[in-house]
Amino acid sequence: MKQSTIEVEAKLIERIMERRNALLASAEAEAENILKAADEEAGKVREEADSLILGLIGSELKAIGDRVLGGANVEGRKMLLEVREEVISRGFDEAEKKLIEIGAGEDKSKDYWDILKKLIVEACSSIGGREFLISANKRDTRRLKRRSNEVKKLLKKTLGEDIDIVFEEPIECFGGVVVRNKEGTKIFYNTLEGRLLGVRRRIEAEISEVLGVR
Amino acid sequence: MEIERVISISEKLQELLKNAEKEAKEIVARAREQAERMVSEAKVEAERKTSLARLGQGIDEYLREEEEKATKEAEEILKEFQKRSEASKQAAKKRLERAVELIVNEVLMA
Repeated sequence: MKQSTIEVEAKLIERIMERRNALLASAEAEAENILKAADEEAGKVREEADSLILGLIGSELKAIGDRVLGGANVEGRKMLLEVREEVISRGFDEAEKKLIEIGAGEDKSKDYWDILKKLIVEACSSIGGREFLISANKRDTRRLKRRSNEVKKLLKKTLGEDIDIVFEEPIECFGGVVVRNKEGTKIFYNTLEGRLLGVRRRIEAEISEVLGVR
Repeated sequence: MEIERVISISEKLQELLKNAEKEAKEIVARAREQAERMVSEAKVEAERKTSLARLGQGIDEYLREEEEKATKEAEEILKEFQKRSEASKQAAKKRLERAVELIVNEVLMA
């Protein structure tokens, strides 16, 4: 066979094979595009159906969202409230410790004797009259008995008349006094713990603001 | 002799090409058929699901998905509250002394 004939044959085969391969590749590509388009269309059909169904059951879905998210919000707010309570209570607990120290005379930055006199004057002024029964803890009762003249003078100066005071049996408290009139018809609780409770009721909001947990 | 041989090869190649064209057409036809089936099945399924949903049936999956989605969101909400709680505690620690002083002064009428 001639060399030229072999070359013609080879070229012919090569050209035809190229056309064959191109034909098949083009068909594969077209098929791929067709399937891709179909996949997109099917996806769109499913999405439209989903969207329609979501519209149909919207109220039920909303109820789920409201229940679950609402529950989380309630729980979260409860968590914040608990922290607020914990932080405020800690503030008042620490204040109570400090008041116990002050009442015991362990805190030299405060003159507890002056404080005690102020508490007696406030209670007597509020009750009115000239005869008072005063109760305090054991330590303060001893001190008050020892310096009763000083207390009487102070009360006379404040209330403007001679005052009779009687110190009753000691009570359990960490400081302050309970004062009654002689007849027992009026009573003024001016113990430190009583005042602390009153202060808590009165300025808890202010304290929460100071602590940054309002 | 050589010409005959070339003609013979040429005919075979033409046949090959014809077959390839046929195969290509079949490939496209099969794809079209499959595509029609895919869309048709999706439509049937969509119709079935919407019909059931209208009757209040077959919606469990949607409800479960919504529940899962909401649960994840709820976890994020709680995490955010936890962060705020922790920040509040830390801020309060720094301000505790001032608050105690205010309370004590108020109690002692200072």
